[in-house]
Amino acid sequence: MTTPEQHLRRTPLRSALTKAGAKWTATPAGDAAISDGLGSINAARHLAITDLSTMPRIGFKGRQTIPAMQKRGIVLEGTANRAFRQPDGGLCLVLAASEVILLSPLSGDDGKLQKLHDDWRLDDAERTYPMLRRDSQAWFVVTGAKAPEMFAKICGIDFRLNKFPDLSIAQTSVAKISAIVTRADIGSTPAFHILADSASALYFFDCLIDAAQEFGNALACRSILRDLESG
Amino acid sequence: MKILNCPLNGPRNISEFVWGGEMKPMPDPATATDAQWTDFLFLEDNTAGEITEWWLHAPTNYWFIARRNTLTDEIIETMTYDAYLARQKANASGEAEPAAKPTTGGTETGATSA
Repeated sequence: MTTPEQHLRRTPLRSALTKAGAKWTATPAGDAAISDGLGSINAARHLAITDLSTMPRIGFKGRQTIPAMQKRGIVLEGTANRAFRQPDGGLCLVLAASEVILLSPLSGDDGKLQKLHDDWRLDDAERTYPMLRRDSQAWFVVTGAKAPEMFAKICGIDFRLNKFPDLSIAQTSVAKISAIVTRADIGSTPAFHILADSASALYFFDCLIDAAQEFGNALACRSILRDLESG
Repeated sequence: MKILNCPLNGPRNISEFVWGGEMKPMPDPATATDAQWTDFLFLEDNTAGEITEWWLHAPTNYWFIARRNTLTDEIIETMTYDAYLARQKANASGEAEPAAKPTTGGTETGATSA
């Protein structure tokens, strides 16, 4: 049994999720706690919100970012607002010709991302530099067939599944704050990853909960998403 | 809600954008007088008609160029800064407009605010 307070890295939603009945387990890297014991696979297929804020991720920015990432074996192309699945199950989000964000797989294995961070040297003069997105942005996942209807209440973008295909990215305003929304289905379940300012995470979480209320208002957790992943 | 077409992100609600002021050449900082520098930084021409402006898509922090009619508030077109420079260069040399295509912007829709 672990608690968020045992670690220096904590999700900004720890109090809200504990009140909602979350149990806590250590992340695979052991550097934070992540919520567990929330939701069901059926709820996740209908509509559920999951907090992955303590999961590993990193960004890179700079004019030579795309070739620098390709050199490191990351699967990506220089197409802005497209996501690319990685062989380990992670995601590479190409935000612009000069910026990417890498999300860890649901297993939470941070070996590859940690190595990217550790191996970067200013002296290499590659014209790409790391951005510590794990600190600046909270990470939510909204899963389920009702997700596009829920988003229609808080965002001007058309997220209907036939209009916003798998691996599309929208950098936009959701509930009046800037957010990066990426559709990356988990198994056969529609899934929208949201990265938004961590300082506004509680406000944003409240907005998601409010918008989700009419659809059942369910929370889920990483273990449920992994169940979706395995079918 | 007015829709503005971002060259990077496509059509978005106008509430996602920030006006960045008129596009104007920067005086040489080494030789400009205080009056010239003040004029560049703070004073707008307030032209009635078609003007070229900077706009920012705030969620991506992406700056681009728009041509807008200040009498009708119609956004005539938007383009990347590179496309704008290419057009300026072509105009200066008297050539036809370059292939870099601006995007059309400024339609009115009934979309709700985000």
